Amino acid sequence: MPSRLNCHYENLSSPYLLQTTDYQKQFCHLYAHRLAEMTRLLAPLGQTKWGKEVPIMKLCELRGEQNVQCIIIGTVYKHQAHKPSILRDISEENQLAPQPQRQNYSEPEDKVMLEDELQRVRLQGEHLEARNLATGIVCAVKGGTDNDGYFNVEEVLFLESGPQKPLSPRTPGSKLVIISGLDQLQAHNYVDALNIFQYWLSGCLGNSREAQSTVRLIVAGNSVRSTAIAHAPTLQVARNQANANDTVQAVGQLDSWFVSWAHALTVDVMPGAYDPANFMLPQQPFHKCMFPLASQLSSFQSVSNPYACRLDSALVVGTAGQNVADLLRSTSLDSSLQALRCTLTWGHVAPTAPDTLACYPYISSDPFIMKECPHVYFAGNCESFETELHVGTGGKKTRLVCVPSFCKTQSVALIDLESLDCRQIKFSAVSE
Amino acid sequence: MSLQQALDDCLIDFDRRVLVTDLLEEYKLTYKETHELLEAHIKQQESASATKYEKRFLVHGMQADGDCELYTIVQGEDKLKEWLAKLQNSQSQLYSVEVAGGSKSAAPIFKPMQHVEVQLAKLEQRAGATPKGVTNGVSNGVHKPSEVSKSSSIKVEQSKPSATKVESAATAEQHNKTSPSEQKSKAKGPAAAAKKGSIGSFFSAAPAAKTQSAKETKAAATKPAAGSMENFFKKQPAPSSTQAKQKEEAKSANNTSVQLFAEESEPSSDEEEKLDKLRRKVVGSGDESDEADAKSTGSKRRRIVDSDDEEQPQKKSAEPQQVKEAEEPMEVEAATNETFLDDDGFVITVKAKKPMQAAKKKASPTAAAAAAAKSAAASAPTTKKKSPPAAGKSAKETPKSKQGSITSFFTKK
Repeated sequence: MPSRLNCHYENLSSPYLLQTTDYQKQFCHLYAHRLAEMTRLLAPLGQTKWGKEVPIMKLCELRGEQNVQCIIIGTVYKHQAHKPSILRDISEENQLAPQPQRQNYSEPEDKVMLEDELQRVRLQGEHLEARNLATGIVCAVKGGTDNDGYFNVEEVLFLESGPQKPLSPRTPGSKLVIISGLDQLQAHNYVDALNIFQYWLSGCLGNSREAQSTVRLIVAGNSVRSTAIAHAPTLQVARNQANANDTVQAVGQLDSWFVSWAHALTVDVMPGAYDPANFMLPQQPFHKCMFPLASQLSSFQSVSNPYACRLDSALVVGTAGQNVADLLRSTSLDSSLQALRCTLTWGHVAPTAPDTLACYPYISSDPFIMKECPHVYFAGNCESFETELHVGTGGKKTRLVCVPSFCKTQSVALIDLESLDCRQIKFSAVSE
Repeated sequence: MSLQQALDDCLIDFDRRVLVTDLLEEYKLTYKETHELLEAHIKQQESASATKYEKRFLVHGMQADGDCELYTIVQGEDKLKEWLAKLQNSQSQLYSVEVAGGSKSAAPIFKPMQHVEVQLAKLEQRAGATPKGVTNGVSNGVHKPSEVSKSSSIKVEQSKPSATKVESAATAEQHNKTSPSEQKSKAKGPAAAAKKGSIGSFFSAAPAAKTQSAKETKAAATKPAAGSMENFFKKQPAPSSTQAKQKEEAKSANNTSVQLFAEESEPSSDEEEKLDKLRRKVVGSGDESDEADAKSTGSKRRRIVDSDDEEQPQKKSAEPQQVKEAEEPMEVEAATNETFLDDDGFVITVKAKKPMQAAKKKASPTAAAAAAAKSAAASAPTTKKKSPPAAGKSAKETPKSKQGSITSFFTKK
């Protein structure tokens, strides 16, 4: 019987594992650390790009000085009129029914500001793509202030996820499969697709050669459900109980899948937005008691969301898609792929956290800063499959993959870790 | 039995949809082999008799844009041809077969695959994986792997005599422990038994499980401690023996439960008693709750029974108080509304507040508290006299308190 290729694996998700659970802290610490850490990384980049003759200044140093060329490093704050506000939601004084949340609250009138440790300044300029920026991005801007107190931006510099290690695969032709949105609660709608998928995974469908080179499967979130539970106001206790029972059953069934898949290859399971896991990013790995059968096998592991690992020399980083979905809500970006590319360029996995994306209130670090440029960067639970080989400055190559939700498209992403080629594999049953 | 034989003997029921993947699981064949055998059989059947089969095919190929590899299931040979033409480098295989025009086929049941064509090079069980404990008594409808049961059976075989001893002792203990409570319940008569039937059944079910689990956990907790005590005593006279033991431990280090079980089975009955004494000492010094467990379940029962007994009189004593309290509002109800002139010259009518007083009475179960409530109720009109607009104020205060809760919510953060 043929066996699978063995690939060197290293789990790099330890920064995402919570050591303490103190939810009483303010989020300002997170922003302060983000700015401090990214300033340290951006300052040398800015100086190499714009030269040492343009000084890096603080906003407080600009007082009274106009038309002075300088570099300011700060955090973007986007003032948006329709941004969801908890204060507005719970305001009872107006006696108004809460307005439904907008799908997208970006508008041309949004104001973009840059904040450093002490002050903020409003940005303007042709080079500034304000509509595509979001709160929480740290960047360096070159320009100067004018009489009206605006900062005229001439150029913007982002971190671009730091340096990248060269790709030197020890296992030639090794491949990675990423699947997301299994949505076990709706699995009865695509039983055949799922059945073919698992036999494809095991190499039974005449694809044993390809299966031998497939070294790992990443399940990128929303395995239990892919939509929020509709909380209709009801007096029926039974309804809530039924929902809970469904979830327990679904997790049990997932366990039986994972145990069978883990016999064929190594499986990493990430939690997703609607899975029974913690809500805030980083989502912690599922407890092993949730998958008692699969957890017995060393080839199965629950991992965090976001997840980072190294397969041979390829650095793989990804999320279950919350970062991309939130960015699409707050900016005018068109597609998930564009949003994914932006996060890579900005050097931050989830820039909108903690503003509009729930995130743990870190006080001494920001684990979402990308200090090393990944070779594969993915987001799960997207609307459709999209991929692109992004080439950054210095020839850094990153395969961007928007993994579609399996429950919607019945497809998975197959990535060659040597060439960084990626293609979609679709499993479907044509309606009778 | 091979698939060919099963097909020849008509053991496969084609009245319902038969999936090729199900057959390859059952007969441990590759997809290709299963497909070939099944196709040959169906062709033969179709030519020999008038039976027609409804076939679904699995088509594999690349889509025209070349980015997407497709595995799709199509029904019927017409659709198959259509799809074969549509896809690049297309191939097809049978996916499912059923007799055409038969009764409505059952929905396909999804089964996690067992047959893996390309396996992992190293498939290892995770160290310390405990399949029994984690399910928490709720089965998820999946059979546990056979490997675990095998290993457990081996353990039992190795330590059969001692294990049976332990079991019998345990059962004897259980009998002894249960007997006092049973006797007591018998002595109390059928009325008491009927009263405590529900509670008794609840506790008789729970402690039985509890004692077992407690024993297990206690054993798990005490065994290392006992081991350390053993090491402590044995170290001084004979260090060589401890070394040998350590070696043994190292040998069976991957499964501590086996090691403990073996250790337990080895010593004679005298040694067992000594060990038990030691364990009790260690447990007794460590935790009080364990000590209570160690006494006997009978005492526990007694405690439960006693607590039941205690509860009954309490209720009885509480009832007369309630009766008294129920009587008191009658007096208050008798009081008529008071009308008087305010300092400012306003006519004020103070109604006797029945519900408020009743609520106060409910909140105060003791007689003293009831008296206090009574005095409060008596003093209420006097205070009202002094400050008549207080009620209006309190009505106005309700939205403020709401706002206050919101503000306090944010100030907290």
